[in-house]
Amino acid sequence: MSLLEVRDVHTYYGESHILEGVSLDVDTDEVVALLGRNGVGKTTTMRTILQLTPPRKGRVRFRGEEMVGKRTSGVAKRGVGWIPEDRRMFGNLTVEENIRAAVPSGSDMGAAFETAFETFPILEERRQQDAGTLSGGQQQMLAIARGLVGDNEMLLVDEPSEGLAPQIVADVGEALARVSNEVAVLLVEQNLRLALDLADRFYVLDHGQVVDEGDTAAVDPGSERLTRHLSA
Amino acid sequence: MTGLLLQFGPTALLETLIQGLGQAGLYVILASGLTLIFGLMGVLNFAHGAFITIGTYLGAMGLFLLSSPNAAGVGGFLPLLGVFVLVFVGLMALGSLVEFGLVRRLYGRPPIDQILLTFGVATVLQQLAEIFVNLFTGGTSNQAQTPWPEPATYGPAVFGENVTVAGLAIDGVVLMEILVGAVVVAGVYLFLTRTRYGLYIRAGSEDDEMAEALGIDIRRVFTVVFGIGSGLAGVAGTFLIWQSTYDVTVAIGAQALLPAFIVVVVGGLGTFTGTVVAAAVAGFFFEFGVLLSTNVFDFVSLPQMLLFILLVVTLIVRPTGILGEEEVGGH
Repeated sequence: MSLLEVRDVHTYYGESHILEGVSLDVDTDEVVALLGRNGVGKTTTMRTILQLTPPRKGRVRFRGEEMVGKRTSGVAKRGVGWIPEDRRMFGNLTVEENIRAAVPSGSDMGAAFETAFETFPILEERRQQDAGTLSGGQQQMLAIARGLVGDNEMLLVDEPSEGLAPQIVADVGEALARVSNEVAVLLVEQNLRLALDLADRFYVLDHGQVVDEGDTAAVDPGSERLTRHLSA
Repeated sequence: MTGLLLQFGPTALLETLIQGLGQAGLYVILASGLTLIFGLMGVLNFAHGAFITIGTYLGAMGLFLLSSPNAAGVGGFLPLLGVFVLVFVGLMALGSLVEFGLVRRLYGRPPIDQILLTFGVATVLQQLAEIFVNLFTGGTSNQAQTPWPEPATYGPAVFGENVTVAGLAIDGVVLMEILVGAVVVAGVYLFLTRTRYGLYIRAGSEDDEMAEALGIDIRRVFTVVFGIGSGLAGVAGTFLIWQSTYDVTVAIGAQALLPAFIVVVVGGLGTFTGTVVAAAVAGFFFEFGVLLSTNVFDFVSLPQMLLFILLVVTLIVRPTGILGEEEVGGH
């Protein structure tokens, strides 16, 4: 049994049929990349797993438990963290408050700060600063830190390198590599090299369906197998 | 303008300032619930007025039970404190129930649905209040057969009487409004900045979906905020008992909702700090209007008119309100 099992999910935005029977698995300690062109349903897959946009049909199981029908906070409490596209900081809250909001009630706040600041020392320096005033790279680190302190077993990471300078992308990649030693990761990333570096396996989505899957060791970023579905 | 001000002398002006502060305290209590609910949930809560009305009547009944007419000294203040607690808790329970049972079902729907629902709730509650009042007085909607005792007389003896503070003559109720207003401002501020729920409220006001994805049960936060907002509406309603500008009928809440909305809009929809600032400005405008209309022009509606001028000018010069941001409300 995989940590996360997505089985034949069909998700709609209004009447638009976005996911047309997506199935995928993510195992404990695994990093899985979800590849595909813009608009094929990668973010929707994550929203479906989180029940932010629940599927009309299909199953989402986490540790064997059905998530469809649960509230998003319930899915999050069971250990699924979300590091969304464009980070979605609480911009008027300080760095510290952003982290505090992500720590489940009853968890050790001190230990959470230790984890966050050990992984990203820059956040400790910026602790009392409003998150909205951080640079893009720092915001991404804060977003990852929020995922880390949430007692999660799995992180859904959406476009972590988007809009960042190359050096910062390398930093974020390194941070994600460290994080993936602790938790399972489902990763959406346009930077193919970064995605294949981090991931153990990949799925390729096209028109709301999985059209290819395999081990990242078996492909390289320029291979015809990938470019067929990924180039515009 | 300077000549106009000098004509009153420092004593009258200082008294007006302090009365303005009292009015500001009342506005803060009236408007805090509205602004918290709108800021977090994006719901314009028209039922707020009905909660104010129920606060007035519940407060009056509490005074009849706990106090006696013209109670002097501590004997007047302790029952009043009890009444405030009773009204706050009672209205908090009612507000939570309304959110849990009704408003909750409409999140994610267009704002007009929520406005219609809360307006409907307001109408039903107001009619229920009227039926209830008529049962006790044996009257019809317009005429009470056996009038209630005047609840204002059941407050502390200094309410409605001038107290001399540093040579200034100030109505005791004004001092109480300043005190309770300050307690509400400090309490809400500390709640928002120092507690876990306050953190959730501020996070949810910015991005409720992200808050939910971090494991925060935002629906429970909504219920808590709706409850607190309604409790404050009730306390404001109790204060209206001593406001000569309001008639104690079941429409009192709807009447008080108008300045509350003005304060919320002028301060900037959904910002608590903005509401506090706007309440102060509106309070001073109102009392300055009272000063002018009783001494210079014979125009009793001047204070209310000044409030509307404040609203209109704000909407023209700064449509987002004094401290408002472009986008408010998560829905």
